[in-house]
Amino acid sequence: MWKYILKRLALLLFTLFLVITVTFFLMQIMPGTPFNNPKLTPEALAQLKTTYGLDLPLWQQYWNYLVGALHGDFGTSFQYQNQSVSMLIGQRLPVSAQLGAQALVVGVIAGLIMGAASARNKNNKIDGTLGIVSTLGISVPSFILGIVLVYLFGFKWPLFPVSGWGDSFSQSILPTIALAVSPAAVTTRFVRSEMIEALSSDYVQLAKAKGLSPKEIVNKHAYRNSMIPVLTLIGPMAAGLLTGSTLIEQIFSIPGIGQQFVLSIPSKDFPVIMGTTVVYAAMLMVMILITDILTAIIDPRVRLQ
Amino acid sequence: MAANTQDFVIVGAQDSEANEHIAKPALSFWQDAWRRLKLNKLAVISLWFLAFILAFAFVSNFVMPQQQANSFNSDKVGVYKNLPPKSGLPIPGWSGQIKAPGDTTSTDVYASQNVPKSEKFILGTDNIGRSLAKRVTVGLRISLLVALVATFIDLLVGVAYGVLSGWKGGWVDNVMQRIIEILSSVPNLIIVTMLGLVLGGGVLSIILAIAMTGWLGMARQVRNMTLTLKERDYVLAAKSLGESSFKIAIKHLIPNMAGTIIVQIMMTVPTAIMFEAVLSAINLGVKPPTASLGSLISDASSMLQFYPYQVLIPSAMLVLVSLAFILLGDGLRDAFDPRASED
Repeated sequence: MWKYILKRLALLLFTLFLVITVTFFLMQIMPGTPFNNPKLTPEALAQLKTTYGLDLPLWQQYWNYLVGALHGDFGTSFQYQNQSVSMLIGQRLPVSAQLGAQALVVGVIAGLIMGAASARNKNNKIDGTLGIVSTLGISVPSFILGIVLVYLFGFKWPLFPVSGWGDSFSQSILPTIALAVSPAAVTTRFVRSEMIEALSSDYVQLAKAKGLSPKEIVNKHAYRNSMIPVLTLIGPMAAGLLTGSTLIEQIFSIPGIGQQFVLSIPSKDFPVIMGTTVVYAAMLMVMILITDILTAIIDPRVRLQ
Repeated sequence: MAANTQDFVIVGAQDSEANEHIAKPALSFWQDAWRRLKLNKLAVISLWFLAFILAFAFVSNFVMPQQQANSFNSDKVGVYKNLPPKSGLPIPGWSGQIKAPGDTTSTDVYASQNVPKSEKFILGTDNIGRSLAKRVTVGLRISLLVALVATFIDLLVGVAYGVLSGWKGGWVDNVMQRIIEILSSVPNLIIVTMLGLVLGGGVLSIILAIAMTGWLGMARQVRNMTLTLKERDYVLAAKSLGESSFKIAIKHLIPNMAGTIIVQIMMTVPTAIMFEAVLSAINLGVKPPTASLGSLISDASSMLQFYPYQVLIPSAMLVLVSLAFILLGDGLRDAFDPRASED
């Protein structure tokens, strides 16, 4: 087990190093510069470049960045004066993390309930309805859902606030729903097929032969075993949430890192873009690693593969 | 008993004489899949819908060039801007009237902006007076073009990569799989944004950016299939007859995994359509005045409160197309592999 974890950790660090390297060099060949104000005199430009360390040879800039990144220092933002990137991200990360966690929890729980309901009512009306709902859920991108929710519950029937964060819990309801629908739909479809498989398996047949009630069979045997594979979905879901939340934060004006990321693209704030990239990649990789380790602990067969 | 004989039909043998034979006529894999797909109503509807949409997008190329949808009369922006959809029939919400926020009654914008009586826009107009129907038509075209070309690149790269990785095995497979693992642990959004930034926007750059992330899933699926198929007897036979690896891949491996590949394609297209819209929303999409479904949505979304139809119409289009691809993909998966869905 420890060997497995160590191996995965080593791969994670190597990947992170690659991500930092690739982003760094991509930023170098990026067209455009943040300092394209025509009013800047050559002296002022040189001064700016010295301040940000852009006059050093490329390999030295790279080395400095790498050493800095190891210490959690991603440089200084171009657009906000004297704001370090790690501070900018540090302020905004908890907001995004809370939003993502809420959406993930709501989505997975809703998916577990709907998936089980669907499997138990296989091929009847409930199953059919849930099937249509979950297919719709995976084909509507979260930002479109966000827009529709804003329109319906913000403007048409103003029930919830549609912008801001942190003043009241109700502000987070609509963005959470917008983000949670896709994980819920994915989980529903997955749990349904897992559970149908479990219900036809030998141990369920045995439980039936023993004379257990259908309710007990589902709750004690089938449900537990079909919940484990859901863990493997959390990695891909987290990736989807990252993409979704950038736009959702934009739509609902939530001060998270996604919004920051989107804002720094047109202003060519390279340090912020790079810092966010590294943080995003690290978050996703840690999520995948944790779920893999959890799966390996719960299901020993995984370790053998 | 009589009812049961109706349920039990020998597939492919309709007339009574053929029923007397013990063996049923052999159906090929594709005939059988097609027979099962036809039983799935949603999938068939999706198939026809997509066929219609693709034909519509293709034909609209000749009927409605880009420039026609992009151009607007700069002197009459005030007359034609932000007109709500008008069908010409007294359908509520589709009659050229719109309720401004805060108002209790809806106003006829066509009358108040002095639009000539004979003119009506079935899907309304945008903020500089361009017909939304035209914009959505060309936008749909661009979105489909981006998604289909990106998916096609995914198909080529993913299949080649997957077959090579699975067929070679050993350290080649090991290295190729690690590369996939590394790439897939970087969020797609990051890869797409980075490439969008480096390539500098425009249709081609969007296609490449989306294609860069999409092939991973295809490569993984194809590799798994290759690992199974290469143990089959017919591959061994081909090998021992001296067939080259390339020909084995083309003639034996790929045709036998065509079902998996097609289902994967159906699932890639909606993702590509969605990423195009995401790129537009973060200012890395198509450049104005070119329209895509994504750019139409993000351009109009700031005025959602006042002109919701400008956002909701392209959104609905995007969702419908994605939904059709997913439903058809689901249907095809069940049709190709009936054991997976039966119980």
